Amino acid sequence: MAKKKEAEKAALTGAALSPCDTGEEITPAFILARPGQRIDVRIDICQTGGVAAVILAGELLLRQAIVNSIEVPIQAPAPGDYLLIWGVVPASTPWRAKGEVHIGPAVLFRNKKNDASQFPVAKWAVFIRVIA
Amino acid sequence: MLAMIVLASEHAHAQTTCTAPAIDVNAVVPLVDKAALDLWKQTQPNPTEATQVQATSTANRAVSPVDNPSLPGLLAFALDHDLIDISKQPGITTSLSPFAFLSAARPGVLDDQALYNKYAWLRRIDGALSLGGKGESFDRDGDGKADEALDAKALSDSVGVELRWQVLGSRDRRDPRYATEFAASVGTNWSTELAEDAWIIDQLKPAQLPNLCYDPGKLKARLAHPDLQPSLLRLARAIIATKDAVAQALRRVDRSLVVTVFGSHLSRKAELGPDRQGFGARAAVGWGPLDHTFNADWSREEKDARGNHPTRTKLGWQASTDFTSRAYAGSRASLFAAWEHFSNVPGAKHRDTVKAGGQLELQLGPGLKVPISLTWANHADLLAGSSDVIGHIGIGINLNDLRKKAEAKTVAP
Repeated sequence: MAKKKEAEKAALTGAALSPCDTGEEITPAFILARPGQRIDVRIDICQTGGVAAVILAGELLLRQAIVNSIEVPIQAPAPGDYLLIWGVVPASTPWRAKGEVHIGPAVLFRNKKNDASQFPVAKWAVFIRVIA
Repeated sequence: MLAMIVLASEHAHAQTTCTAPAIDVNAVVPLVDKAALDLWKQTQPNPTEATQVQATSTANRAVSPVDNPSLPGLLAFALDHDLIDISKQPGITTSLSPFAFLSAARPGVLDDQALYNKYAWLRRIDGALSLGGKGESFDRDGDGKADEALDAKALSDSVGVELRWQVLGSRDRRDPRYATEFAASVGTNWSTELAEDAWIIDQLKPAQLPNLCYDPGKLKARLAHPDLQPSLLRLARAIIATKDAVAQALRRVDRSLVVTVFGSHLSRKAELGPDRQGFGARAAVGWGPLDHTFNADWSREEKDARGNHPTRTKLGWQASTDFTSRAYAGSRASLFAAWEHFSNVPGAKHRDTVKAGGQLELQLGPGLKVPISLTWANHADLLAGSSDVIGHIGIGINLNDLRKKAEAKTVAP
């Protein structure tokens, strides 16, 4: 509770960098995982809300309204290569957004978008390579 | 904890970044979308016009006796009644919007949607304070002629306050009330679009390297392969469906009912003009094809030399629509009606005035507009002519638009 209040205070005063702006971008060809391993797919959106969707290997895992951020835990399937594609449609402009993939504390994918990007669509993709 | 760090380190090294000119799948997605939309444009009768039309704004662009109800739009009332003057020095006008002050002091409130939602009620209140400035032209010496307006010598010589409260509805696209509806109307199209992207990426394996990076040359060839065209067209339709769903959802927000009430008070030195109070309401809503705006204003001045309060009452209505069909894109039609009642107002020729009319703005081509208007008034002198009905037909040529079109033709191969 106290942590949430601190985060809220930091966001209000602008003392903390916005979650949509933090971190170096990493866009690998694939992310390596072991079967059953937990992978977290994350979306941050700033200056507006929107609707998010996450698809792994053609299967829709999530489709819902998003306020600030959303994290979707997925389980690495059987060995093989799988396409993970996800994104958010912002409800208004201006907007900034960030897509991430984590395994544990490690950020293995991070890409930022905004309404002035060359491709101003908050859509991300990466392969998950599952090895035994 | 140690195990987690070891695992994280293992993953950090295990991932592969593509080496130029090879590209990763995240960079492939925009190329796939572009290829899909380019192919779709080729299938359209006129590719240059086959672009997504954004939701139109409901703001009143035509000059009309009816004002818009949005909070900034209410400044028009203040200007009409000399309550707030931002153009004439040495006056100062400052916003009294508590949300504007909050966001200036704490910028995070604009960035963080949850915080933005939390302070929704603050955005319903707004206002303006004006100090000093120019007075108004009126008969100061009692000779029956209006004298020139004087400047305030000190800021405190003229103090105007207006407070506004949006009592009903919101046209803020970030308003939390629209989030669920937006997700419901756009979400399905969005997940379909992502699924179509995934389907096409699955068809791009011939362009893929063993490390799952893509060879740009092979990728280009694969995207141009005739086998892929049906899938690309399906993706293009999905992208357009998402954009359409967003535009429709936003249009619903832009046309939703919004009602604002306001009150104002202007206190100034006698030589600058009489003190004045006012109240009013604005409402706007989209019904069917028309966007309606309603006004109700009342203002009263301090007692004049004869001991009467000059009072003005005004009711107004305007309805307008933008033509959405491609043939008439850019054209607009509007209707308006306004009634004003003057009581003890010096210089007012009539106790009641009524005006009604319509305007049609036909866009005949880039930069070429033909406005046609018809206005009726209950007194002939309210119109430019001698009749109580007046019509106008004009031609508006926007040379900038014509120049842009000419330049585009010159540049095109």
